[in-house]
Amino acid sequence: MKYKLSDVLPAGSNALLVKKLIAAGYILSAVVSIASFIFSLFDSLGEIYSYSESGEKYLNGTYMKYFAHVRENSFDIFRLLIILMLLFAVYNFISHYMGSKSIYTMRRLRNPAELMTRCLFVPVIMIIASIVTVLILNLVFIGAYVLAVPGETFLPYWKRDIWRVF
Amino acid sequence: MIKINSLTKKYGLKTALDGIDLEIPRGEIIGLFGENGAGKTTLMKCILNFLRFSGEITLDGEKISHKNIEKLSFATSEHSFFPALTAKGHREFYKAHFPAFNEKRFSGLMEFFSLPENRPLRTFSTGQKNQFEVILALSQGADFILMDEPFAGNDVFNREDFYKVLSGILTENETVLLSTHLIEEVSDFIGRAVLIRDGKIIADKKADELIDEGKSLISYIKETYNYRPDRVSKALDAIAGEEE
Repeated sequence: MKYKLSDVLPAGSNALLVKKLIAAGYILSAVVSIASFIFSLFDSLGEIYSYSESGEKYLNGTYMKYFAHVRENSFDIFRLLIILMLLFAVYNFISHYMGSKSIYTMRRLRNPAELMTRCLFVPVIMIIASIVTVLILNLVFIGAYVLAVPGETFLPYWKRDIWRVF
Repeated sequence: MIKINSLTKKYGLKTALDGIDLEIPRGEIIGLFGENGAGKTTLMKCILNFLRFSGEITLDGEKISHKNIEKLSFATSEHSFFPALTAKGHREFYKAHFPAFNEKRFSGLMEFFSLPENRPLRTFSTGQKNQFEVILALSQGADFILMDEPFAGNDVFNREDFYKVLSGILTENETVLLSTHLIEEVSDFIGRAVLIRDGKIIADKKADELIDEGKSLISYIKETYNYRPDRVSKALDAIAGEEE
């Protein structure tokens, strides 16, 4: 059986628009997250290096910021996306009271879960996708951090809050 | 049959329905009459299980739940369609969710009212919205069709045509419970009149009995409601007297 996005959105929703907006929001969040981390990583790396008069780069003895400090606000955009998805779920429910009381029709359906499915499915899937993406990105960021940071500049507690992504 | 026993509904301290007992068998067209706030809409919403209540409502001996709710349809002046969905979209939705959906009746009524199929409902006029609301209720394939002021905003010609169509298309198993203030318009169309006042049923009369008694529906309702014809003249006299 083929499922359509319109089957899991309030009846009459513009499924194509929702699809585009959500895809754009998700991709934008990932791009902003990655860009934010790269910027923060290079910024922090800049603090552990100095340049001689001849332009030669050398470690200046400063410890690298611990990972969570470098990661800092990289996932804020995903936090925003999750909040928007929660608001989207609320809007989906309220939309059954807007312009008419289509809630009356939804409450007369044989499947009592139909209303909740149409209100929650997309937001919940997007929230789960956001959390999974954040965890994967965090893993990638850890790898990038370990590869980019010289071993001697690691703080002993560089792993502090390493998985505390939210 | 819908059987209502000792139905009571309270909104805070206000009693909207007060111990209602009513039987609604299949195959009847019942007019539900009463002044604003009498409890007509609340009664329908209780039957549809939209509101919590005390007492008991059964449909063919079973409590009304998701298992048998599709035997009930509802046309309301508040409208229950999806404003952003087209008429065609509604047909697909109803086909998917109501197994007894009567597509032939839907198409026939759409044609009768000349309603556009591919425009979202929000772009319809108020009259068209009402018509579509009723079309959905009649096409759902329900045994009990509850209509709450479905023609508010429709012109008289439209309403008259609709009554004729309605009486022509209903099968012997279909029941209509129609709440309206347009008493004279529906008097030839209903088979039974139920009068409700202050949350209580104050009268329940078959149309045949009224004919036997030589009474019109409107006069019966006025009589039952203790309507005072001199109310207007007394009020006008009082107002005029005050002004002098």
